[in-house]
Amino acid sequence: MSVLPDPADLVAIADRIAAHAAATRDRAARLERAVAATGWAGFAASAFDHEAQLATGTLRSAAARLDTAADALRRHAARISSLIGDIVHLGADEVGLAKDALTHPGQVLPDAVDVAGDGVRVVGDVVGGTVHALGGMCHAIGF
Amino acid sequence: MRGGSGGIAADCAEMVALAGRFGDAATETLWSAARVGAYQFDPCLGLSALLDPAGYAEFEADLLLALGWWRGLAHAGAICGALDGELHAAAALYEGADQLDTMARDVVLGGLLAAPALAKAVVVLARSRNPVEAAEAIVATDPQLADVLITELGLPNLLEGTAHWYRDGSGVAVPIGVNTTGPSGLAPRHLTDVIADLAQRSDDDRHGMIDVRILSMPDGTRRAIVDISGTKSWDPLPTSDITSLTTNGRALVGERTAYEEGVLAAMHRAGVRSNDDVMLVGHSEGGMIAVNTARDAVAGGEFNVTHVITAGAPIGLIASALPASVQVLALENRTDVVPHLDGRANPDEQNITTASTSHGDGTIVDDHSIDDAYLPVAADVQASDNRSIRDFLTSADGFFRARSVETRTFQITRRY
Repeated sequence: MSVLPDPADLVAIADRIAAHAAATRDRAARLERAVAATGWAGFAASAFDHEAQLATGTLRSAAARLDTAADALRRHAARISSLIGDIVHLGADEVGLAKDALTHPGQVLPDAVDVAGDGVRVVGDVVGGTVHALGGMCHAIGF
Repeated sequence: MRGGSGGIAADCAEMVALAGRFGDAATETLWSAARVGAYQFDPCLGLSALLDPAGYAEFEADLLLALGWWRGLAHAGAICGALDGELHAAAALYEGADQLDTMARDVVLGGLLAAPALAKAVVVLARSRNPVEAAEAIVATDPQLADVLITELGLPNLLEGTAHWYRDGSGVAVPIGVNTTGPSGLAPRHLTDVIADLAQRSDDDRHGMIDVRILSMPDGTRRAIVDISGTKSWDPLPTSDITSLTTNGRALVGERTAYEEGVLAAMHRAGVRSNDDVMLVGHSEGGMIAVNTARDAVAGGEFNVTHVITAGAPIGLIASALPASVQVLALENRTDVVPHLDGRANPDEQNITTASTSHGDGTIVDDHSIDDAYLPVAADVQASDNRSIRDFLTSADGFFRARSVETRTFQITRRY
């Protein structure tokens, strides 16, 4: 098993969440049609209509939020995919660097600087993301 | 108008059905919330948090909002569940109130109009010196009084306890022949045509006359309409006259009768098949026979009775015994006392529609007559845009589209 998360798995979870959103919206539409088909009239019917609209409105609100969560997860998956791509690329560079050190030691130093720079950038992306997330949490709590 | 697809029972059934939909929505929504919540524990997500904690935190925040207790799935599920409970409770209250209303209505209405009815009777008596005419004035003004008085006198209970004592003998169907005259010779196109043929049969001087009409449909299938005439004999003693009081007493409380036996025999002799759709139509006593025959024919699988039409028949004690598959249209003239002789309003059921209008000249005989009262009542009902009536007529539409008809007349008699 890979220690790195598979972005395809994350996208699959996002798709399942989106499917729940669609099902919730369908549920709301079916209830709206069923209520409309009764043709009830009168004071009590108006009060019931209001409650029914609250129920279907809340279902639609929940469906929209599920879609928002699914989109957030897809963006997260895209970022993961990009980071993994960088890590793999970094790993390939290091392997190439080791080979070159054996065959062309004089040219290794500039390449090593480039690879180190890539590594710093990848670490920086991860650390920066962590600091940003921590800062956001502190702000939300009120520090 | 009472009962049918637009009646109280139908409203309650609709409420319960809608309650079920909200209940299902509650269950499905809460189940969705549980399934979506479980995704948070997927190992892949946990690992991804290490690489993109900001993105992970954003997703988690959005997911909690979607699942949560304000405008989220859990909130939606709770509201749907509450509506399920409210609708069930409302249906139960509605049904209970209607039952109370039925019992109270007869007493209240009977009481309200009792004084005017009695006052009118005094005026009529003073003018005509005829007590029968005065009595007619009472029942014409306040038919509900008959319901109350009959119940107070315990007449239905008395009949129920003693009906099986009456010697009823066996019903015999004597074929008279094929009838091509008047309405009998024409395939019915409307409710009024059906009542017109019933009137033709009832106007026959002979007692116990019925028609069995085989309708041939354009698609090759067949249907049958059976017209059953009412009381012609007031003899309380054993008699070969099938329409006597013995039949009335037994039929009123749902006992099988020789008349019913004779009707079924006539249907067999006329060639009605067990898979033909059948409509039974009856006036007065004939209406009670129609209801009881439908009940027993369907229960025994003997005939496929799908519709019953009664005119001026007291079926309040017996109509509920019909299966829901049999659609009933009960025509009542408001000033006709006969439908009140069972002391009970017709039940408010989805398959039982009671339609009332006012016709006749205020006398007991005329207000109960098919020609003078129930043909006009049928015309009013046919022209009505009431939902229950339209649904009944739509369900019976197949009986009004026959290509041809063969009407066989029978006389039902009794032997001991």
